[in-house]
Amino acid sequence: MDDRLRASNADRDRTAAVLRAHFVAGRLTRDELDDRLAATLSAATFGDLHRALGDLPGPGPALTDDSRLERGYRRLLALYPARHRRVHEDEMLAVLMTAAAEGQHRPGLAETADLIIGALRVRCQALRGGVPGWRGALALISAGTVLGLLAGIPVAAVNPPQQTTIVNLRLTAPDSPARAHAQQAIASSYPVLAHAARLIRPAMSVQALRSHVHISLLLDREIVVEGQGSTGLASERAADAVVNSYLAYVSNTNAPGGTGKTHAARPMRVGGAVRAHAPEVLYVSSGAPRPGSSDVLETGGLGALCGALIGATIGALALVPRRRRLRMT
Amino acid sequence: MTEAALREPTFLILTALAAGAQHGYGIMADIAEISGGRVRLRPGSLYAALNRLAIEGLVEFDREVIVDGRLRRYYRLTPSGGQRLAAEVDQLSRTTAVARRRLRLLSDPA
Repeated sequence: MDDRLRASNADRDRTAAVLRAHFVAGRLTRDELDDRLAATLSAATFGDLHRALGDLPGPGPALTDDSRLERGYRRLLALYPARHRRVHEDEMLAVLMTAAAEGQHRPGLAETADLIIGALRVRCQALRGGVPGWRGALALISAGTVLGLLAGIPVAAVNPPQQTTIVNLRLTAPDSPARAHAQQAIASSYPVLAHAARLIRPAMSVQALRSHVHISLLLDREIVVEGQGSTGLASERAADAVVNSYLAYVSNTNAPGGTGKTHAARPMRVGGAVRAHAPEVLYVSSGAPRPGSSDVLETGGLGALCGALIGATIGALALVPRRRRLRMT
Repeated sequence: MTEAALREPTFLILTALAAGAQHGYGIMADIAEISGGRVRLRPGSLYAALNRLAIEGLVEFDREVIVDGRLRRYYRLTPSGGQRLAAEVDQLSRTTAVARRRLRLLSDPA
């Protein structure tokens, strides 16, 4: 990612949301958060955004679709032999980017398979070309590694990348931190979650919903609802359901233990910055879904790594009889 | 000399290049057109095939140009690539001629 690229409002908003999430996770103090938010809001380039995120773990500011796609392709092209890459990498990347669909932001499954098989074939061609000695050994081992990576793909497929949607609820001047904590407790309480689960799917269990949402308190005045799902829509739906259920609950607080039935009939659509109709909540702001991790190789990382190690071993073993045979002739 | 029949993607790549030098994406688009959209070669398969054809001396590097900041490398048929394609076309047309004759007999036994 080129640090000199200009950042957009959306890039700044996303970075601010990431910083808030790090604050919630305890990685930043309140002062640090304020300083970095100020730096983020005045950031002109991706470099400025990177500096604001600086020493924090996790993905940097969200990349534009094109550069994310390019990074994904380059990772796959790294499977080709170095000699082939020196000559063809830029050219192949140009073809891939031209052939990519509008708005595509990661290599598709079929493309990924095609490039992996292509890399394997090119490596085998180098081998058949009669490359002698250690060159041949390296080619065999790397062909084995590619096979291993290939085996890692199913692991990646059953473990799809997660998307995250963060919704912030600003509370109306809470009298005390204790009250804010009480509001957070309500938001993550069984009745609120049970209602939220019903909003998503009648048969969904509260336990299933709990694995998709994380509710925390920010600066004693904001409830942060983080929804996770395999698609942006799923993460949005999880976060929205909890927020809607909570809003319905607090606008019906006169009935202790109430489950927000009165508002259940017409759940409020949360999006952008909406003024909430619940007395406890000043406004709701919802971020766009963002990827938790960006591509197949990353999510399947561990599986692919194990596969690659096994593949490399097979490649090295296959080398032994080959060298013996060479010595005999 | 008897050579194994060319596989379809290889045959189509050589056919695409018979019209003159082309770059990778141009070959892909041309193949989709020649085959009436039936064959869509993906970049990984295309470059594996190009690499093999270059090793066999059937295609060679022509020139490179930069378009919109991206590299385009053009490939062309070598003389032996042209001969190989011509031999394949002869073989195929002999086969299709036989097939056509027999089909005619089938529909018109008299």
